[in-house]
Amino acid sequence: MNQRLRPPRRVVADRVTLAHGGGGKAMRDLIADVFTSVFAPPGMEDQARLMHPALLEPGAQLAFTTDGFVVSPMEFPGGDIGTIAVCGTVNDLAVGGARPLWLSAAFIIEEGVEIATLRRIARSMQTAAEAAGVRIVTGDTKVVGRGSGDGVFVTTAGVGVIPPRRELLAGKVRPGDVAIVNGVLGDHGAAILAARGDMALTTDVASDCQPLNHLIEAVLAAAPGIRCARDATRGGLASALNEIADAAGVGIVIAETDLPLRPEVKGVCEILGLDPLYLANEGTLVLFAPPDEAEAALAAMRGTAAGAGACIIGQATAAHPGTVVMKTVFGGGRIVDMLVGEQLPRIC
Amino acid sequence: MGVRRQVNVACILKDEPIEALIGTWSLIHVGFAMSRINEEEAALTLDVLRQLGEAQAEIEAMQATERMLAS
Amino acid sequence: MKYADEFRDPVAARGVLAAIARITDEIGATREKPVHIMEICGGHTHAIFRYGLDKLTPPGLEFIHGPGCPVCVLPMSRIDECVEIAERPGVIMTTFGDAMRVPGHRKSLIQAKADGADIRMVYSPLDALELARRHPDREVVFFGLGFETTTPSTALTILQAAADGQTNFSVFCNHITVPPPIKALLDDPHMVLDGFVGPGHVSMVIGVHPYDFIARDYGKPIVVAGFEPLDLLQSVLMVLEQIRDGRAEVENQYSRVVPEHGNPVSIAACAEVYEPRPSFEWRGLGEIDASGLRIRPAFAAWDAEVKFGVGYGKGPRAVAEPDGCRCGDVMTGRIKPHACPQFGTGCTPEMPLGALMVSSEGACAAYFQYGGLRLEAAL
Repeated sequence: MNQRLRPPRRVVADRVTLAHGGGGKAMRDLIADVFTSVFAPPGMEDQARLMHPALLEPGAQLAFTTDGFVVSPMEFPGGDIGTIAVCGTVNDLAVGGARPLWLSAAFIIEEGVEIATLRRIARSMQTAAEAAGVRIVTGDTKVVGRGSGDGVFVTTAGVGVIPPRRELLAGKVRPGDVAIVNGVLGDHGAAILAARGDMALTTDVASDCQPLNHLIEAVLAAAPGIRCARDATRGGLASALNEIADAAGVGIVIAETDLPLRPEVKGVCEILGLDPLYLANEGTLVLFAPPDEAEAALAAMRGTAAGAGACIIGQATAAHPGTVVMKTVFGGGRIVDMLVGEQLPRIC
Repeated sequence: MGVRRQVNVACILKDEPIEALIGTWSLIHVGFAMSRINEEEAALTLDVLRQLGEAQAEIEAMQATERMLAS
Repeated sequence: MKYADEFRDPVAARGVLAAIARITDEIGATREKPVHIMEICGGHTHAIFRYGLDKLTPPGLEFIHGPGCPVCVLPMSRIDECVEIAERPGVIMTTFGDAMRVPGHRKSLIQAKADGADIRMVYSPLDALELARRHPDREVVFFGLGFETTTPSTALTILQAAADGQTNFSVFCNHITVPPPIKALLDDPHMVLDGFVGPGHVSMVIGVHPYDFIARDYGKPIVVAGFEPLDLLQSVLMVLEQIRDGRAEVENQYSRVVPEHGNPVSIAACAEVYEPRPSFEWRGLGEIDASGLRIRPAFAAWDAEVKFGVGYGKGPRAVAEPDGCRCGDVMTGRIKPHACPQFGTGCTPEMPLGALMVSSEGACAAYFQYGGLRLEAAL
């Protein structure tokens, strides 16, 4: 490839202007300086041209996902919109049993955003990508006028490969299967609430944002009979469990005493009258293992960084199909329903 | 550590410097400390509850023994 | 968590539950002829369902869910007025979260927000006052609602605003008091009530003596209760013991938080800032005398009704409930949530017809969320 030698392209301005989205030199410099110098994609055409031997294996499947990220505030303890963009996409692939390979990242940037902020977001994304072992290979940049966006919106797509004979499906969960989470619940949701500022709370909780693909590979190696995995993002653990119960036509019973929660997250929930089961997570999943593989799955999870806090929280049952029931600390039972609307802090 | 929030202590501050409140437990509602927890009363209430619990445990133990002896 | 976890101890619970079962038996209460105990406060209704207490107590004990949910009893017309104020240019409307989804005749606050009104959720009225400080060019209004638990915080905030000379702040006052609706229920010949579990946090402010009339004039026991499951169970036990002994007294189970005479600073602030309205409409209960509070003329500069020319007495009173809504009957304990024909069909948390389904403390929302019939079928 013959390339004219030239000095690296640099953005001059402090803030993003409409010119940076115009398709001209300002945009070219922005992309080069802020994004591609960091992501180092394999080529610079409009499309990434990729190959991986695993795709050629008979019985292998291509896994393909897309996601939009609009978190506010964009930066928070434990990460930023870039971290969750990469981890969220990687995890969407991983919970389906796919090995994540490549990501795209499209940015819609509001006029006036600081270039320094973009640099931090790009850096976060590359760091997260390296931790997950994926590459950001293509992308796009648009700028919208002030007031037409909200900081930075990121849309990603992710591609991975599911090895032959691997099939993780919520519909496969059967009565008796054991539900396991990889760590504490609700950290991300609590961190965001505190970071948003409208509740005027401060706490040390940081988002749990992390890629889960290595954990899932480790679990599947030790317990190939795993039925399914779901990451507990918006709507929290409760929503993930309800989706599984619905898809599989099983009931699920969890025990409140077994749910791992930081005291600070419990505290935030108590003060605001929220239920930690509905707080978002960005690095926490629930998976269902056949009873004879539960111990192996647990041990494998605990052997990974992302699964050090793994524990059993409940099991699937033939009773009350489609409904998730929780045994409270008190011994009584209550239904854990899907979230309705947004969780609003209570008064009185 | 924990969760921090600024609260208004007008309702619970008696004739004392505000520092006297540090380390006390109180009930917070919508940004106001509304009541200082009376630790003696709390202990008394818990005592009654525990005794009920212990009495029940004894009753259950007695019943279990009776059943065993009867069988 | 201190002073919380100990009151959730399941082992101690067994003891209290056994005693409750024993005394329910002693007084001859059965599923067919149960003893009716009303928990007044919405927070108690929520706790009962969250911990499954109605399933753990014997069938001879029936909880009647009282009207102590301030969001639930708010008339639709007040939501309409709040939306009207929020839609005025330059206004920032601040509110507790629960009020945002209550349907008005035109729209709810959350719908108004989607339509462009600047409506923000706050945790405390002090946060609303702070917004006023930060935005001197905007009019910040606080949607003040709640029973006596919350009335002092609004009053103290108004006093602070007055002391600071913060003129771009006002309160849309919808505060209400607990004793009048209780009296209305006790005067209702159709109500069958054997005792009350009293509102712990309201009592923290007003003390226990405002309930003396319940024991003295109506001969019913009332026990002021805390909010942890053991508090509720112990209070129920104390009510049952009174019934068994033929006593009718005001007792305080929540003595670690509730002082006998309440909180003097709160009471004084409320007396300074508020006066009772001659009557106020309670959704589902109708007009009740002297049950609502309005801001005194001395503080008119912080009264949103004065500032914006809306409110009680002005404009037509649209009192009609939506077709088929039976919130009033549920709220007064005449029917259980699942007996309402709309429950779960025409009225769900996603698309609520009435306020009891919207507010997380409403009996219908609690039933729907935590179980009721679905849980019975499940367990």
